[in-house]
Amino acid sequence: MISQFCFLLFLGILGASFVLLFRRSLGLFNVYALALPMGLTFWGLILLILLATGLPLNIYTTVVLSLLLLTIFVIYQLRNKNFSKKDWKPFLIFLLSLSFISLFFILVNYSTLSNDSWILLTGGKYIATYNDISEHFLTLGGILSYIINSSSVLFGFDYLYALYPLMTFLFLLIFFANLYLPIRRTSFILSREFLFCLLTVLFLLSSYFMLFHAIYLHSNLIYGFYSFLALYGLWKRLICRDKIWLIISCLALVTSSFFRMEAPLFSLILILILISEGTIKLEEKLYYVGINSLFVLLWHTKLFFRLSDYESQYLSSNKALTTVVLYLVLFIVLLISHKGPLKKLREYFPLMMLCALSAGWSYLILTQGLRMKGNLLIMERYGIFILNSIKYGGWGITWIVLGILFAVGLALKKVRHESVFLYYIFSFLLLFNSINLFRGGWRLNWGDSGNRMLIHIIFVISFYAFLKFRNVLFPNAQG
Amino acid sequence: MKIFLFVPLVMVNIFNLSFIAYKLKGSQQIKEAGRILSDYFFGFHLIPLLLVISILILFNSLKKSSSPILYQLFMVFILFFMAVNFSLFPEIDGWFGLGKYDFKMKKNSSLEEAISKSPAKAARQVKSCIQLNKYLSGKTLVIPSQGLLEKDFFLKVFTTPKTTVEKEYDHLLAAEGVKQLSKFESITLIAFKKRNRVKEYIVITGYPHSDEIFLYAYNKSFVFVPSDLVNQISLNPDD
Repeated sequence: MISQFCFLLFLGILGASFVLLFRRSLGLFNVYALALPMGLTFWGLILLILLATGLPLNIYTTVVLSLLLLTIFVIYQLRNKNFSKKDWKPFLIFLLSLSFISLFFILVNYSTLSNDSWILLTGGKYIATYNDISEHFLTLGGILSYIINSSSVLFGFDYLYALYPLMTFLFLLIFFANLYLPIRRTSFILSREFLFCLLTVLFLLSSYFMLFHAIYLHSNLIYGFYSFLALYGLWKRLICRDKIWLIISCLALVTSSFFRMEAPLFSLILILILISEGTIKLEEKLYYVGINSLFVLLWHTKLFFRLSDYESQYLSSNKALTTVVLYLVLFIVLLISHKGPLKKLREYFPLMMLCALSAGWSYLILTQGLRMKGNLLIMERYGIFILNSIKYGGWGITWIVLGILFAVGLALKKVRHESVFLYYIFSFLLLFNSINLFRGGWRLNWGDSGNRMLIHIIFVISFYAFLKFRNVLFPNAQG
Repeated sequence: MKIFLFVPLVMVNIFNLSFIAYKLKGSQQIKEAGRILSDYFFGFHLIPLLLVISILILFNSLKKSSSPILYQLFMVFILFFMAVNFSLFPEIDGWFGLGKYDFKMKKNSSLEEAISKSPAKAARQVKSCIQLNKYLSGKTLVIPSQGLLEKDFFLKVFTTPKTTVEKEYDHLLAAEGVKQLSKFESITLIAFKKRNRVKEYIVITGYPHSDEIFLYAYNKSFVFVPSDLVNQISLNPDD
């Protein structure tokens, strides 16, 4: 218990030392809400680098490297005189709050799991013991989802369960703060603006499956959180013209890309949206795409060789190679999109992507969709998916309400750069529907993989819908 | 340029959705979905709320600044849906229906003994423990076998609540005279050795409705074990 608490606190401090560098741009609230997720990102990436390079992955190397990183951030803070005396008070409040909340989630353990969850637990323990991971695990899930679970062995606690409710809590905090702070007019806590934003968060919590995910040991919720953060960061960069948000977005995208097997494909959507944006400098795009591509390319090249003799219906060496090729192509597209004929076409890239994904989906429906698998026509799986989202998946009427709000939101007054949300949502849905045709194990209950994957997009859809309504109800909203 | 991309995009997706709708026409899933939606709309009176949405659009189209009525309508709208959502929570005992057990196993103790040694915890979750015990003792599965419990273990028991459809399945089984075994979809036990590494833990998942045990131990593949063979399997991970 103590070691899990220390681990979470350590992540919080590591992340805070980084995000505090951008305090002026992010705002105090976002800084401390993002501390733990950013700490987890750095921790995960350190372990990933150790694992990929074959360096010893144990408590000493990981802690030494993390402390080194922490020292670099602290020195940078001191050199730039970023952290003054008056910053100690909020920092201590943050530490106290994080300690209290972590302790609460450690003591109140309602974690639940399915077979997928304990594959993640086992994989994590495997990594920490052998400094390696077997092909069996590699083909079943995203490497970071195993890596974060390996912390339990490194720090000597049984399994990491408090992180999931903690991340849910932080997500809701970020969701609330970023809806509320731009429209706050008064310090009076029970203002109309405050109640509106509070209710949107409570609405999300009224969904059984949302609560379930807070205690369900799986990669779904954390992936959803990071992909939301990546998209939100990009949007904020566009409306605030502050590149700090792009750094947060970039780190969140790197993290999300390694949380699930199919995640690199979904990350491509955001990268293409970024490339199409004319207001972002080429230099920034190169850093963003370069960092993401570097991590994905190196890891998937390793996977390509590692899985060459291993057969799996999920991740295979061919799929790893396809990912490598796609990222290389996109990087080349970025390089040539600022010159010549592609420069004019650049702004239409997301629309082209939507067309390509729609055409791909048509092709898959016509070829795969009419086949029988088991005793079920593959097309009938869409029926199961609909039934899960409206009744059997544990969502209640969340998707019906969000669907209505989203549809109405489309008709409401435009938000600046809202196309970023729309391109992402529609591209996600098209890619999601296409990928769904390949997977097995369709079930009419919460455990269905497609049903669980809805958590990946619910944050984005709900944020977009409530943002549109907020701007109608409070016209003075800034962004 | 935009229009040249937008038109085919819309056309292709209309085709895709129509094609899926055509293929699903008359299927059980679509009939069921229609029934559920009609239950929601008429059972929960969602139609007046759709009216609220129309008013919201109307307000927007008038381009007026925000009014308190609009705000109140929206708040009522969300509150109403929250209430409906809460009413649709699965009917399972416990906090959000999710049971939690945390027992510290002692040397050479069986599962039942471990529960009896933690009476306070067992009492808190007695209802579910009875179910769990019944299920496990019904299979005469005693944890652990010799050699496993040389030192203290953490035993974590995870239960996955049944969803509505599984409960309906139970009713069907009950109608056919099959006794409902558990209120959980699955029960998983993980015995973690204190300060453990991979070697010292085992995972056992039971599916009450399928009468099988899902066993995992270090370095072994995942195996489904029919219940009548459970007694013959050693749970020692070193075996």
